[in-house]
Amino acid sequence: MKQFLTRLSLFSLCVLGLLMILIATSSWLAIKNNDFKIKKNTTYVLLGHSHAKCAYNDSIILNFENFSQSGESYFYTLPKIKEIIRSNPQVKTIFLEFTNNQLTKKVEEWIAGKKYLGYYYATYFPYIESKSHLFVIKSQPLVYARNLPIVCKDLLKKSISKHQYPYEFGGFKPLQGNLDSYKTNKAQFRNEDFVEIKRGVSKIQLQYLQEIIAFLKDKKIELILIRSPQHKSYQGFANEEDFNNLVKNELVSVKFLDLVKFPLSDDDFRDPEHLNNQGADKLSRWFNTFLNEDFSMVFHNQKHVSYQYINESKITKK
Amino acid sequence: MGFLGIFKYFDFFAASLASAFASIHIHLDPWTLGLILPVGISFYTFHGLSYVIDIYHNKIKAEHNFVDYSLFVSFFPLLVAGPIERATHLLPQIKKTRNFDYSQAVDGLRQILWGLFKKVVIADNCAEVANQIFNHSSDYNGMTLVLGAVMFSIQIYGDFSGYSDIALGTARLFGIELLKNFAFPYFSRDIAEFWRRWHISLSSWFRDYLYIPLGGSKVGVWKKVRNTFIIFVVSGFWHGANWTFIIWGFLNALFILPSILSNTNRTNMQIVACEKTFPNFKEVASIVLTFLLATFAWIFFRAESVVHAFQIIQTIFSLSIINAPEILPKATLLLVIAFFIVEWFGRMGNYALQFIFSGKPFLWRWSIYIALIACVFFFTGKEQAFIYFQF
Repeated sequence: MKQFLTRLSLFSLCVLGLLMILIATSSWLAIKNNDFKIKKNTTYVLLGHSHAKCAYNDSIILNFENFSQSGESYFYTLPKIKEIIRSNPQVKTIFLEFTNNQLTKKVEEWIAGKKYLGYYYATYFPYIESKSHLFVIKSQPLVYARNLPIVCKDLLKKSISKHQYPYEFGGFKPLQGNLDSYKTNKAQFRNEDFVEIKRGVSKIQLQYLQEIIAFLKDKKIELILIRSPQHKSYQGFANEEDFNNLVKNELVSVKFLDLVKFPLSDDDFRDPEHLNNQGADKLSRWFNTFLNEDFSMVFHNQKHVSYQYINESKITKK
Repeated sequence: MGFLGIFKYFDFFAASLASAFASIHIHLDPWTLGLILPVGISFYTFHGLSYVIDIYHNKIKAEHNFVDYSLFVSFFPLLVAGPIERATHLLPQIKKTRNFDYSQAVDGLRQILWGLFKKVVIADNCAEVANQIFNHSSDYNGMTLVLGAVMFSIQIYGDFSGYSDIALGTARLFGIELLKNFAFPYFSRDIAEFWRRWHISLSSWFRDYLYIPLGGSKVGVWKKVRNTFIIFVVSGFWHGANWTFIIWGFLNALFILPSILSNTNRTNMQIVACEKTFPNFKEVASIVLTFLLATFAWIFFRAESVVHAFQIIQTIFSLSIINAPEILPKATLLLVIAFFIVEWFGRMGNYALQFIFSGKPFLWRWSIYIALIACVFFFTGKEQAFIYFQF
């Protein structure tokens, strides 16, 4: 029995050691092979989840690229931002989606939930800091263990093939359909696409948002939190009070552009929280003008501005 | 048997009766129970039955030690998907004082590793292809459906024999030898040999407790035919209360019947190309033909319904079979080829890895084990439940 246990332990250690070496080598190769380079004239970068992904058509906004990805939490946006900044010194401003559903605790599933571990964690594995790895292991050890083969497989693939990360794992997505068709065919939409909003703030999301803020401050990159337009029927407004408290108290020194009430009709929404192609087109044209005409001035007097404020300032000027 | 009847077959008979009446224009609303089938019910029912029947036939004495009997009934490695043990085989091992045996434990771990590889790498990867093709069978040409059927044949072998290997290996760690359940069935040269090598614990159960009591093969021609059909149709029914399983059993009876009637069913008792490295042409042809027959029957086993199975067969036997497959899972095919090469060279053992590396230096053996673990890590397919858990 003693000999059996000794050899079994030795064998397990060998396997574990080799696995660690393999993961480390694959990570190193993946970092070496893949790049985060973006267009040289891009000085404005937008990151966020599906709200931003479907709202800003970067083909009609000058010097601007949208690298948002559906279901991306700040946990994974942090390494993405770090790598984009590291590889693209021309980037001057980061727009980061900051909206009601990113605060709710349910969004923590976007970090270590089964589906997200197999995709986001695997995608950003080589770029995630060790304390974040430990966080994922601690929060979902069983899910982590079950997903480890998928993560390793993905890592191995990425170590032998080239990927342009920002373009492959993000980008504008035009949506078809409108609010009426959404209401008629509601059952066809997957529930997992929508986050149930409850009151309360996710400490983890907030922690990683603060890390993004600190990182960009350190790199002297301008950060603007941005809330994309949402329909008045959006159930995410359930935590509006928490949202406003957070903006006023904890994010008082961070620039925040609130476009939630950007004037759009029902026909401009695919569902209460996502714009369709028509809505994205309207918003993007306005945003392009805003970036080129008003953007440099708008944050002079205050850190938190809304569409209404920008509009009124324009009228006053005229 | 009462539990099995209520949980597994009641709804089937109620629905079938209603369908029968509907065909003569009497419409009945079938009264069904809609019960969830307990995992492994068919396995432990047969497991327990063997104990009762063996006592009845005076093969063993009734067990008076409650703990020993409970362990026999609920020994965890075989509880959900077999092998279906016999009281005469397992109870004496439970009663005997067992000492830790190093080589038995190492062999057990090796068998677990091989079983895990078969399930996670072979079966689950093949399942992805088979599911894609069977679930969208109307979209594919005949050759793609053939590929789907072949993939399912390999999936079910990897899945079930993989589970059996894990169960046998786990039991070995406790010093218990369970009945062998698979013996390289896809290297069989005829259907009779296939059934001696596939799900051995169930086949031998039916042989000992049904076929032989019915007279077996030592009866007249018509009774031989009757007995053959009874055991295969009952075997199909054992798998599930569905006409697809019954037709699967019926087809296998049809395939084995010529060899039983011509008394050639016991021709191929030894493993193919025994003590040779490669088979001869005739053996290869026999193996391929047997595999194709088994695969044809598996179509019914996998299909959602009898109509679905016939639709698949109709497409296979149409002109669309001359087209190339629309799906070509190169990586999966390479894994399958590598798997069958190892199975071929390890066919003299109880499982492929048993003797194939014996006598080799330990560094060599460990490298192979680590390579297998790496395969389990990097080539794992999408997680699939064990097929036989539903029985």
